Amino acid sequence: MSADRTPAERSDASSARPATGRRHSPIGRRLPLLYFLATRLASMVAILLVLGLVVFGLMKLAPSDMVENYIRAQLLLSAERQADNVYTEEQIAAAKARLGLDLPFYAQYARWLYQVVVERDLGRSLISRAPILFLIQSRAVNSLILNLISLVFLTLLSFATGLYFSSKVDTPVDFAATVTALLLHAFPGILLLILLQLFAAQSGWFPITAYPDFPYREAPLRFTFSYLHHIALPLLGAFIGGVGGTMRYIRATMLDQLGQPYVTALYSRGISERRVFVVHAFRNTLNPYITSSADLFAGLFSGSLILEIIFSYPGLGRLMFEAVRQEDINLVLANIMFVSFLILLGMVAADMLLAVVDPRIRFSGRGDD
Amino acid sequence: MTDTGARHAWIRELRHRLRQRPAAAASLLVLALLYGAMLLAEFLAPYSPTTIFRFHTHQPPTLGFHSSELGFGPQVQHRVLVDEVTRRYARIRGQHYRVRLLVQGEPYRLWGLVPMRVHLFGITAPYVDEEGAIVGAPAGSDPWHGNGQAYPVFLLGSDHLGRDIFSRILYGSRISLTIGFVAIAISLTLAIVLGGLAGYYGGAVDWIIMRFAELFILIPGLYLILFLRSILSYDWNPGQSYMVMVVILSFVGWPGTARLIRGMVHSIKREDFVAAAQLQGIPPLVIIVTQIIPQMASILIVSIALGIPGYILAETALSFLGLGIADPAVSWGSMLDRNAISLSNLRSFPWFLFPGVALVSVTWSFSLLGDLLRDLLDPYHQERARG
Repeated sequence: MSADRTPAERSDASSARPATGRRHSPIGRRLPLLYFLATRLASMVAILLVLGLVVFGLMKLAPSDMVENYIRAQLLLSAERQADNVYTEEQIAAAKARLGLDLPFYAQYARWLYQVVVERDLGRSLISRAPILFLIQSRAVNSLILNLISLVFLTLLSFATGLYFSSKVDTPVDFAATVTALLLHAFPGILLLILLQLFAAQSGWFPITAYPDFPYREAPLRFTFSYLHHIALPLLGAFIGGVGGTMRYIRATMLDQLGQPYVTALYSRGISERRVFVVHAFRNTLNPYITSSADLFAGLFSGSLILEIIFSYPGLGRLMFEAVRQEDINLVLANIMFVSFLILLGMVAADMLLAVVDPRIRFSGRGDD
Repeated sequence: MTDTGARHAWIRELRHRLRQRPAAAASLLVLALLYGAMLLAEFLAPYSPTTIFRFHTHQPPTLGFHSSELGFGPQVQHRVLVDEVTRRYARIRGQHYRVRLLVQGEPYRLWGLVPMRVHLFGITAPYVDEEGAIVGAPAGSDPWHGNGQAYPVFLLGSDHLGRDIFSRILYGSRISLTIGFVAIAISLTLAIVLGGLAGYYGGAVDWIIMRFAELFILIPGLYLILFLRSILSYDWNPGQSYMVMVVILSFVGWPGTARLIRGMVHSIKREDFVAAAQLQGIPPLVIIVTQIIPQMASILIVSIALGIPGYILAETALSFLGLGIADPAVSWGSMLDRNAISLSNLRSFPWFLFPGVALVSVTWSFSLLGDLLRDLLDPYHQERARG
């Protein structure tokens, strides 16, 4: 759903992130940026830990037959394996105790954490038996590339159009652009992707899958071009809706800035319109945009889940979907934790950027003033 | 806003804005039509959503308006399957069935109460199968009697099982058009209680509630939906899966609204009338709901109008992935199921996308309307967004 959140909500949502800094701490005064980053990283670890706890707590909602299926799948691997995969109640109970599934969820979580952090082992997929770490590693790169390219395009296009149309306010062109942006923003992403795929199939100009059919190592250069060719249409589908929303948002912020007294003051000092636009007003739209960009990033991940399924792109979204379909609890768990980790990383990156851009944040040590 | 004069002014303003923006007025009309059609689905739809015409699968829209045999008027030409593989049909010359208004058809209960048989339109000619044998009752008697069915008219084509897409869109709207309201009602309640308490008390309560909300914002929406869906069982009847889906969607949707409400409660609670209520010893939750929330009604209305398309699309996404509404229940999302609208299907049978047209018209209408309402009710949204 975060893909459909309006930019206004998005920035509202992220403006109240945990404020961990203290205004008058001695380190905070001497090395503001470093201190700021340290507190953000610390709170990030804390949030991730709690997130895992919540996820494990929610797992308790799972019906008991799913737990039993899980135990059976584990037994299939173990030495106690029976030929017909039929077990007595006692065997299942024993296996349950051995796997720690009879423990309360926080104890299970502690076990899982120990396994992940100390032993560096995320377990194995229940279906394919592949190590989960390997599965996620190979898919995460693809998803990250896809979503980062989306984010870059989304940012460039929204700023270009938003700035341009804010200078054309109240003209028919501007009106047409804002309505188009609204319609793009509200167009169902699934439908857009399906239509793009249909277009690719009918015109034959683009492949109908999103990933080349040979590995990168075979021919790196050819792979890159082939990748760009494959990804062009789905990528368009992934960010064009976001451009609609973000462009409207940037245009509105620009108009808001242009109405501020400081702009009038700049004009009265004889500073050119172009300079006021590009240097002063534009700079002030950056701040709220960076704040909302982490949520934008989360929204892109949601959107790319559908993209990966429709265009059969080997990313995290499809991995998650297949894991859910096959009730592969291990994989679902690892996947959701990893994606949240990525999003959190994005949020911290946005905060760093914000601290660099805006000295107020750096020195007050909190992001929500 | 309480005295009638102000209310009249508000309505006048709305009318004025609607006249200024024909797109918003049109979307109001579209929504009124769609919700009206939803209420009268049984009457407007010629068939039930599960009626299967076995010999008429994958048929394009069949309604015609002229033939030499019957002259002008709505009619359907008889079609016979010629290619089993590509599902191509040949039209039979000189064999037309007139489409009539208010015909007797499949019996139903209007709103589950009034037993009726009249449908808005349909064909009364008995059903003739591929071999030309009349499987229906003999002429003159009730064409819908027994296994006999009237020759089908497909306004928007038929699907891969031979079900009428037009009827299914009408029946599907019962889920697709209501799920947004139900889900937003639940998520808004959660948001008002939690966001309200956070904003009202501030301090530790605020910190705990808002950190809890952040956890849900952190996980990308669809991933969270998939995760919640995965830990819940699969084999449900349609009613159960509808409710579960609503709960999941509102679970994912509440944190954003809670933040909005928290911020506003935080600023409103310093007003004198809140202090007066506190001095009277009214409990906090009652103060929040009866004193503070009405102050932000306009902003909530806007967030509802802009939020509903999101829920509708989330249902579509879930059903598209095969994790939402499934047969025999029907929603627009389940009609746009991954298997039904595969690439090869769409290339040969593009009319399978008609539910998508309905979907787009609804999300666009809500967005255009929400945009108008926001300009009307919440002129400062830009400033608040920056915080």
